[in-house]
Amino acid sequence: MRIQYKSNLKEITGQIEGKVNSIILEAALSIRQEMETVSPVLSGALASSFYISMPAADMDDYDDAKERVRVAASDYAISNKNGYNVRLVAHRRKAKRKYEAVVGSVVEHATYVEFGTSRMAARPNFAAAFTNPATTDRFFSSLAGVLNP
Amino acid sequence: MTESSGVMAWAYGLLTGDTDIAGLISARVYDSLAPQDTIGDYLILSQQSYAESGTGITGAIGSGHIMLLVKAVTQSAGYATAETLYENAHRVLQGQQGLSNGVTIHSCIRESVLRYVEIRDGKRYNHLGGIYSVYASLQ
Repeated sequence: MRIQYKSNLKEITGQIEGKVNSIILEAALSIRQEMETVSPVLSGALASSFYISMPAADMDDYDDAKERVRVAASDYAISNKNGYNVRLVAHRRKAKRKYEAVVGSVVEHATYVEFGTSRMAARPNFAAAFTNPATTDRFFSSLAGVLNP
Repeated sequence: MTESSGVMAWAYGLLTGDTDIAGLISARVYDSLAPQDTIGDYLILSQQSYAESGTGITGAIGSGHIMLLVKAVTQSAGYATAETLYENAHRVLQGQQGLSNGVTIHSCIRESVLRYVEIRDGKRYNHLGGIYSVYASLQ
């Protein structure tokens, strides 16, 4: 009798990794969509400024977000005689780990809106979107579905 | 009383009741925004989000998950004063539990730190603080 052992572990791991990354990307897209919806709108620059970095899912629209902000800010400057100056963030954050997505903003004033200033109370977008039960529940139940099919 | 207001009252009580913090800023702990005529450094408390968490981490039914922003705001040239003030605030809040006006606070754990500078009318404002994840439920 001859017994042969063939491991499918690599293939199975690959399938799980792909599914987990899809779930993370779906959550990131959902978070960004909510942030775009709840952002205070003055020029539209903030709502246009959110990007996702997730190399594992081939996703990085940082440069697109910069372009969207440029268009929104210039449109606003045309309609507002006082002009409008949008400063971009000095440091770009990128996802580096295997199961990681970064949802960020390319404009500097996103920090001031999120956490407040000496003259303005915080108007949080990120925190509200990240803790939205609809998103978190879907994320965890999808993850559980992959790990316990 | 809701979980949110109970948590805010609880955190406010802890921060204003600490003698080290009082020695640094007297009672200048504010909800969301300091009054315009505020002179000197201060602490800001702000609720960033609230979500019902169903069954909480302690098994309490109907607990709420609150993201709480706590930050020091100072006007010095660097972050040193803000660090001293915020370190005290963090010491007072981190890992604490408690009761406040019919609300049980099950846990208070820092999720992340934040640090940024705001320049306004030629003045520098240092903002240094943390985001705390707080689970609470009505008694």
